[in-house]
Amino acid sequence: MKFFNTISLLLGLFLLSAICSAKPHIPGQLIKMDQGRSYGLVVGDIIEHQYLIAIDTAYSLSPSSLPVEGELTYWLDLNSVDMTSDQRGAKKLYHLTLRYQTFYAPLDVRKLLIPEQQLVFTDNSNQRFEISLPEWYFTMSPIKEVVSSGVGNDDGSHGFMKPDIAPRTHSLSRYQSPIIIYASLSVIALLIWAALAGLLPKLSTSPFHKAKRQIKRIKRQKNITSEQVQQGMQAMHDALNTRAKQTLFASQIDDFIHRHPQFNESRGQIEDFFQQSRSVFFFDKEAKPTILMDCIRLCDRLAAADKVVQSNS
Amino acid sequence: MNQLSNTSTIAMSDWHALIRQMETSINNTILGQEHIVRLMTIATLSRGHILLEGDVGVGKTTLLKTVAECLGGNFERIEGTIDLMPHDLVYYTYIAENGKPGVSSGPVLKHGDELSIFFFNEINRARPQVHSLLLRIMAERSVHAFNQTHYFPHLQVFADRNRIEKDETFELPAAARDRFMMELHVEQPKSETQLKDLMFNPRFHDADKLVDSADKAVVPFQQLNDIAVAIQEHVHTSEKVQDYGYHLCRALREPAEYGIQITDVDTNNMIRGGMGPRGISYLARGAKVNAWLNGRDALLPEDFHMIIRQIAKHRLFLNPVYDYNRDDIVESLITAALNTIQSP
Repeated sequence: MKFFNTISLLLGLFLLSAICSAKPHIPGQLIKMDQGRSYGLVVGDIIEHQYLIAIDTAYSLSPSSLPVEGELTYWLDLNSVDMTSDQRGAKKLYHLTLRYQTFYAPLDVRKLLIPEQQLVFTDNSNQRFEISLPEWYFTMSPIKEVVSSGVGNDDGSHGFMKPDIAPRTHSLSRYQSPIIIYASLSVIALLIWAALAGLLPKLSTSPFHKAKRQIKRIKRQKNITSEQVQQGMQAMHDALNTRAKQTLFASQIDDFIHRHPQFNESRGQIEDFFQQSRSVFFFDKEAKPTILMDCIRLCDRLAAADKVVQSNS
Repeated sequence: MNQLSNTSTIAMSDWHALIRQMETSINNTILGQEHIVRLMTIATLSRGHILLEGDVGVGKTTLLKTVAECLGGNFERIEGTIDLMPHDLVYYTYIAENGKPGVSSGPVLKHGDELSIFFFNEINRARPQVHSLLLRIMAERSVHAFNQTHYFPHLQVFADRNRIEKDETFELPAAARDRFMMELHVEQPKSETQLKDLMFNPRFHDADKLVDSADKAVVPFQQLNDIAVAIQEHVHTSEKVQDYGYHLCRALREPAEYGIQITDVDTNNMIRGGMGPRGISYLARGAKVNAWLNGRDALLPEDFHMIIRQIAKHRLFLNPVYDYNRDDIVESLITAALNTIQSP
């Protein structure tokens, strides 16, 4: 007898739990919605609401239940209603986009409401099923204050407008030295690479600059001797040899000019220099200090011609 | 110095005109060899012997005979053959009219000390024994025969050889080649006009007549030694040009010392022998003559350039490993030396 009572109790409990756990079948639901920012809206702003609804394939949306485009209230327009549907297995997905535009012009921050709306779905047996798009509260802000009041009232019309808070700065001193070192090394490495790759513009490498400096050093000295003048002339010869990439003799001037046409305008001066050089070095004529000035002028002309060629190359 | 030391001599200024006349006459006779003629003039005024080489039939012999005609003096010629012996130069034997054996002077002794030019044709066909005798004649201008020494103060030896024929020839030893001041390489003229002239102008068809048409004895050969000395004294050599000449010769012996590099050649071990004292002396003498011929009384580096190849090439001896390409390597070495040695 006690056994039967226990069985009856357990069976009752089982049935009760089964009744409680059994849920009614819901054909569809709003599975996702995006209503955007609900604050800081100003007059003329577009409000876009997007909804994703999943419903049994037996049901379809009743178009008459969709909100109608146009003026909803004196301050709210519904600009567009876009709806697409997509079959996903046993469910149909509806993607609904509603674009509102608010024309409410608040004088201060106001809370407003876009009311709840019902979407109706029917099946073949005219069975209705409703899904509600929830009401949406948002706040609107004025574009500017019509009459200044409150804080900053005595500071004129601009008193209430406060500048933006300056961003908080973080101390970078601990990173500064490594950054400078690494950046410098990077720039040096880049320059070395560019130089090796031949990407840097050619620096002025005219040997005539060097010759000019040597000759000027000699010319600055007092009581210039014949040997010193010869040293200056030799510096001029060395520069010409460097540019010719061989020892240049008077008999080779034509060939030299042919290979370096930039010096053609200075041909006369080059020939004069070789003539003076022959007189001094081979005919043992006196080397006058005025020759040094001629050499400096010739160096200037030849270096300038070199520069033009290098800038064009 | 405007006058030669000799009495009844020609003034130096007049020698220029004589030399110009001689060169003009030779160039009118032998076409397209102006540079060779100038080099032969330099060798003659330096009192140096000349070896001509070149292809067969380019006119080496005709050129030498023409130069000999213009220089004047007693001229002797001998053909190099395989059976030529040294005594053939000095004497020859024969049966005299009285039936007894006779001995007469050979080509070298025939004219005594008036011998001006001894022309040795096809020198490389002669044996080394002949070369040995020739060495002495060239170097000392003397020969010992008939129990006495014979001197030839005005002697200049011209020789030629062709580079094509190698059969039954004897390469001249280094010592013999060094006795020649210059080795000149004769090529046929490159000018189309001159070649057409040589082809179709009958004047050039008979070589003997052509040589005969050249001016005879334009320069007094007895005074060549004096003018040669006078030129050497007349032309001034500055310290700088002496430095240049010295380093140029040294660079040909020790190219690595001057940083000279030649493709595929180890310049540290390429030279086995270079120009000796005789060679560098010839270079300086020839350069001075070139300066004088150009109307200068001072030597310039360019005077060395004019003759360096003809004087140095046959005096440079390479390591045997480079002999296969000797001509090109020696040419590269000389060019590199000229481009490297610094000069004002």
